[in-house]
Amino acid sequence: MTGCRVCGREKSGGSVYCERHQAAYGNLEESYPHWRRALGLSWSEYLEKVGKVSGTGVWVKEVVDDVLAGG
Amino acid sequence: MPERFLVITEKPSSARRIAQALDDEGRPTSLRNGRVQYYAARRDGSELLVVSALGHLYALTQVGGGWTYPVYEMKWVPAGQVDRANTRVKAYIETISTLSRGVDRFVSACDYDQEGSLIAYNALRYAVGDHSLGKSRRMLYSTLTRTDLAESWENMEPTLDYHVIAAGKTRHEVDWLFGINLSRALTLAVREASGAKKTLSIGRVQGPTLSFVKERETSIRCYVPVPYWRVYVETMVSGKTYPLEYEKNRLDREVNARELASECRGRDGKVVDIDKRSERLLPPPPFNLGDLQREAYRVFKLNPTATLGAAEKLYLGTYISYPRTSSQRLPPSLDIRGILRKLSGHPAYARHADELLSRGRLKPRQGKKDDQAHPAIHPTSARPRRLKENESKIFDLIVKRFLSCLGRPAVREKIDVEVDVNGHRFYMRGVKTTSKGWIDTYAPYFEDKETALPEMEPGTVIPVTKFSARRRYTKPPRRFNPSTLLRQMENQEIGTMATRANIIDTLYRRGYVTGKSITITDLGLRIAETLEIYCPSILSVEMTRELEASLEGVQAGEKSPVSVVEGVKEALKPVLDQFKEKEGEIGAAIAEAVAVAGEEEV
Repeated sequence: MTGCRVCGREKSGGSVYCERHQAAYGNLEESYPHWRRALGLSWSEYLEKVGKVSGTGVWVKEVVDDVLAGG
Repeated sequence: MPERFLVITEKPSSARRIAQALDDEGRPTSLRNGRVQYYAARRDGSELLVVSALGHLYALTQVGGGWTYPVYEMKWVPAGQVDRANTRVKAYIETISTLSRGVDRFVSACDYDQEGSLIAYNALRYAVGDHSLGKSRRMLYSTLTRTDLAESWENMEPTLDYHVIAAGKTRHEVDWLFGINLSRALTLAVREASGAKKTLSIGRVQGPTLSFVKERETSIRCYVPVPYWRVYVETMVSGKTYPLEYEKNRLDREVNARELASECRGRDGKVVDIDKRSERLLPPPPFNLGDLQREAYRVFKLNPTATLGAAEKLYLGTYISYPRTSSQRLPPSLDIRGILRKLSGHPAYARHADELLSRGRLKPRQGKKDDQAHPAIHPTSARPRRLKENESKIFDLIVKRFLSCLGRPAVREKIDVEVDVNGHRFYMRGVKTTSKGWIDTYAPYFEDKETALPEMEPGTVIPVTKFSARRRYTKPPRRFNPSTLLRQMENQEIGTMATRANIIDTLYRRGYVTGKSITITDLGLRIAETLEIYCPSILSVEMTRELEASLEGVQAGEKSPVSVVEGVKEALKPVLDQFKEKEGEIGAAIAEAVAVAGEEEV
């Protein structure tokens, strides 16, 4: 697969994502410790929850869908 | 033989005002040269011909032909040659040229700023000829009232304001170089890649402004909210319910919220301390243009361009002073009492104006920002008639702000009651305005919120009648609106007070952004991302800020205009070389978004 796994745009460095979705994935990873501390969630529970919160950015939601789909 | 003057103004409406103010009897003769109206006035034995420009009568165009880039050589030509739709300027140029015959002296009476100075200079230089420049003088004024204009005539500058003209001319040349080259580079790249004929634009201020919107949009789209808990507690005193505020604004863990709930729910609280303090709320300073545009957006949701348009109409109608000012200060020479006496004849302002007039000494609250050319925006002495809705709103806002800045500070009593509930600290907070001061004058534009508290003393026991801890999520940054984007441009020192609102309009017009809550379009995002990769300097705040500093240097007479323009050519060269080299990639990156935008337009 040559393009970003979410949108098909050019990949960023060694990532499976383009620059936009890689930035979203980076934020997703960065925020997990806060969620774990707050609610004691596992990574997959976290993804399930964060994808449904209204303030979550659209690129983050797209990455969440991709990861949950087994990407 | 009486001395003959040709007075050049910026717009037709200001020509009439100026002619009326300068004519000994206030009744100049209205004449026509074809479709162009001008005025003949007499003053102290001199003959005055007062004629207007139509804003800029001359514009820049490239030397040589071809719709390509790079283009570095430019010249000034009649504006109709650049914009074919601008058919009216030719008649104004011909009129100025015709009336200049037999004239002894010339007077630039355009608005006192870079644009105004340049409009008159170009009209004199190209429509009359270089010989006129040595015989030209400059009127400087901040209002179009009869008194100010007459005083300005008596105290005219002996020459044109060449440093201001040079700064205005350099600004146009620099903006032209950026605009023509980058816009053509973008448009041609996309045309080469896809055949699309859409015209794209980017400029030295437009680039960083688009970049602000792009950065904000990226933060929003990449945002991950984080949960926290907020507690909502109520007590009841003498049959009335009051909120209790927990000492911590938020709790980071659900378990902490549960613990707090179990320790406080159903318990009694005890007042441990009462802190009362008086706070003075100083009046706001008078408006400069940016403050006026922001306040008009806050209270009327009027966009910055509409506010500027309304303010300009009020200025041309002699109801307010010149609105394109950075100043938040009223000079000691301003006849504040004279303005108040006039306002006291207006039913809406009489009470406050009379109250101020009854005082011995009037000292306006001054802001920090100053402007050498113009004072803060203030009403003049006229009572407006037949104002349109927006003009009426803006006039009211300006008058009330002016009256408020002369008002007394408001005094508010703040009360914090500290309550202990089972070892946890909560607060009841009250606010009471004890002296309204300027707040009363500025109504309805300032909302005075009061919160009354019951009489209590340390040791008073109050029950916790309601306790809940609710999960909340942090929120992404807010999108810009036209007002906050304008403030961002001001804070970052890009553009000028006269051009910022226009730049924002251009982003909308080009289809780069959309909505009142500004959202970047796919086209805008693609352009910003592509420029960030291939020529990031175009989006850089630093480059345009340095240029603004250079232009200020030209106005101060410290920098040579030629060196600034040559510096821009040098800076553009590598950018345009890079563009040429990567034209295919740049075009391909943007072409898809252009195609989508085209479909949406249909």
